[in-house]
Amino acid sequence: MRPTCRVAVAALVLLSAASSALPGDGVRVIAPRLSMTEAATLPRRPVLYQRHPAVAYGDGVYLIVWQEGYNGLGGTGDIFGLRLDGGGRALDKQPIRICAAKGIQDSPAVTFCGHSFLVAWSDLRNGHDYDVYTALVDKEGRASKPFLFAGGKGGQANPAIAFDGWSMCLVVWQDFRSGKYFEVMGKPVWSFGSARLWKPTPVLARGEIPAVSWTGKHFLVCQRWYAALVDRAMKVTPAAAGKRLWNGKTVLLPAAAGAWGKGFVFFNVCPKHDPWGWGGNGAIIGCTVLDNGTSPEWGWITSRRALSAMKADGKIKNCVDAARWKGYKGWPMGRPGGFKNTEEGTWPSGRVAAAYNGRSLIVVWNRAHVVDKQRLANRDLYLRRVLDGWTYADAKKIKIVAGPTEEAHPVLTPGPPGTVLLAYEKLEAMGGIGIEYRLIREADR
Amino acid sequence: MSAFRMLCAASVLVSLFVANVAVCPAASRQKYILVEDVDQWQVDSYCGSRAVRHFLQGPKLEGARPGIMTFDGQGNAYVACGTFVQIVTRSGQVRILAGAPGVSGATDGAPWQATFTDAAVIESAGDDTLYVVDSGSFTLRKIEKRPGGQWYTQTVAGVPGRQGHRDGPGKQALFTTPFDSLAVDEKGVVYTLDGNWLRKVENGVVTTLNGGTGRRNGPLKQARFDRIMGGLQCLAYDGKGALYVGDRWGMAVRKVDLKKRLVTTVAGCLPDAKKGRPTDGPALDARFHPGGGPVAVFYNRTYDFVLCRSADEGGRIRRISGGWMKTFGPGPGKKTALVGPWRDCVGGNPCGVDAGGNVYIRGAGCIRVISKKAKNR
Repeated sequence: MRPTCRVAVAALVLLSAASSALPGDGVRVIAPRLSMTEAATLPRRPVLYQRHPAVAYGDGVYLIVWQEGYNGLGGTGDIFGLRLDGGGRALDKQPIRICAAKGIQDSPAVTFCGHSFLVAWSDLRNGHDYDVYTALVDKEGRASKPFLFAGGKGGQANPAIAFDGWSMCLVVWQDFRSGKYFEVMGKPVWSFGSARLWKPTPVLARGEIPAVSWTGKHFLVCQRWYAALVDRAMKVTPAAAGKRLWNGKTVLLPAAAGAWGKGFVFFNVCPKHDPWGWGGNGAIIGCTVLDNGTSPEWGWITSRRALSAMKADGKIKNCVDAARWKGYKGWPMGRPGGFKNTEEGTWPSGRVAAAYNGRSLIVVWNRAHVVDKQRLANRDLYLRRVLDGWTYADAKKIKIVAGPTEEAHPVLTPGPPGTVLLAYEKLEAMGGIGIEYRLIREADR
Repeated sequence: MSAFRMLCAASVLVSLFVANVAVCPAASRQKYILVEDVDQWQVDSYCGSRAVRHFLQGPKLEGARPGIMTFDGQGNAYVACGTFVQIVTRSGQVRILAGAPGVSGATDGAPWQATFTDAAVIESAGDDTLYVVDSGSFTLRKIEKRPGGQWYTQTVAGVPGRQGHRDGPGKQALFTTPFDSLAVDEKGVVYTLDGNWLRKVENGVVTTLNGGTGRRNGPLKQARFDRIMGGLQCLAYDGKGALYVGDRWGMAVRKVDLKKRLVTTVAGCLPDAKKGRPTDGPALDARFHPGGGPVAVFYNRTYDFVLCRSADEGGRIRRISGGWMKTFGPGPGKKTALVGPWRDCVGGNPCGVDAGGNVYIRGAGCIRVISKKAKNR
């Protein structure tokens, strides 16, 4: 090899190493007492298709898991992981190969379960329909052999996991065993026992892509408008007496979080604007679920009209963010010419993430740019800190990540006190999707 | 005296009304005329499910998403699903063909690199080539199967993220909103509708064929359409040298004869005719709902008819053939069944017609197929 080539190769190696290093040294103050590190990227392969990040923290170690590789026709998505120390520095030189079986593996979830990390994912290795597989990753980064967690008739997919902080993890997933619709099923995993002793328990009668969190006494499981509490004996209590948590038309995938001994559900309502101006405003709504299954906010917002009131995010306590129609001070329903735009040219649209850092409840969501009367594109990430009693540490939402391409699908996990780890997908300008992560730290009041 | 005058006036009014009804042909016309062979058509599930909301790969009746679709010669279907294109294989499996569910963009390349902002309509041009209108990024995209079996996406015309109206080589051309309709002829020439412009993309060059916004028939260069917010796929090619355009606010289906370069109305209002209540009948007397005309147009080459659905007419689909517009289905009355005899099923939005003459409709989260019963073929 000629010396110039050697130098070039060395430079390339250094470049690739740098790109997979720690969240940059740069720390940006994004709000009073709130700072965020520069973005760090996961180690990358020539085929850049990293999707569905999931994050967890335990015993001073973060674990990010994700889908590595294309999961479409002819592709083979695998499940990989990477450990980070409390400061966000990568502990592994190479990603941990959690599952690289034949066929497609995608949509992983992870939680810390006392001694190891429990990882679950959707697995299409049989080429016909999804099953849920799980594996353990210990603190040294060793992954156990994957095993079938939920399979059988119909598809089982999109697992979510939470840990009670002591001995039990709850894995929930969507299950097509009825042959007609998906329902949300749950199965416990004991830190020092076997999951195979338990039969799956129905948690929500209908549902897809569930979210789950530990509230302090119960697991809170939610999907779209509906939620349920599950105790350690797998007894299921429907939240809000089985009614919708919010009486809205359309709801995107919710986030579940536990804080101050309560459960919280955050969802994106009306994620697309109506071209004629008849729809409600896109908004991020939060609801509390108490230990007895009631939701104090139930009925606060009973109509789209209430939500569409100008500055709903200032007037309605549990409205974290709402789109504001350009030029209209009231409900714009059916105004001449239909939808014009919003004040900021963006609309809340996408998945919501929430995590309690011991000081406030951090909520991160997407806003997409309005392309025309019918279309949205290029989502950015926004943040707001929710305090107990629906007060806010931030008077307005904070734009935290934005760029010429899309940043989407945020996920959060609480770390050491005051800290959360944020991970999200980022579309690269030349094609391919990578995952970035950042630490968000909140100082003591 | 005043009561007597009022009585007289009322009787005159009543007699005038009765006379008017008697002479008005519209009043005696049947509102909807079901096609004679409606009982020969049967509805079955094709993909997706009413009860499933999110995309999931696997069996086609679980997590497939509805959208405008096209077909290849091997029994596979391709569906435009917003940020991605899905394939429904002959074996009944659903997979992502290109793009990324949930991530919008306008990048080209291998399946893992390609992204779409809003893949709205798709059309096949032979077995290994698909054209996609990415209406969110104002671009026309081509997905091509390369040796090795991988599908590559490339932008054929338009500048991602820039809307406007400019002809010329593909990379300089601009499309405006709504960019939502697509047809491909047997030579591989692509026709699209953006706004009220009918555009042709041939050898990578974009040309505007008509005169823009308005309601005028006649020579193609001067013809105008009025279909802003028209709906997905308001353009169909009949395989015999004619395009059919769904003109929503012109309340008509217009025919573009590509050989004579002439635009005529084939059903609904002529540009200067009166609108009216929705009715079937001789195609030029028939009317679409006054709330808006055709928002989806397809051509069934096997049975030689135009299919269209009008805004504000629910799931009713009309059929234009032999100079008549009739109701293709479903039958009258409230429907709840998704599958079964076509007369008794819930209607939908046409989203594709395959080479066998089967009609595909979307709605209720799924795609259903309406096919003629085998014994009657």
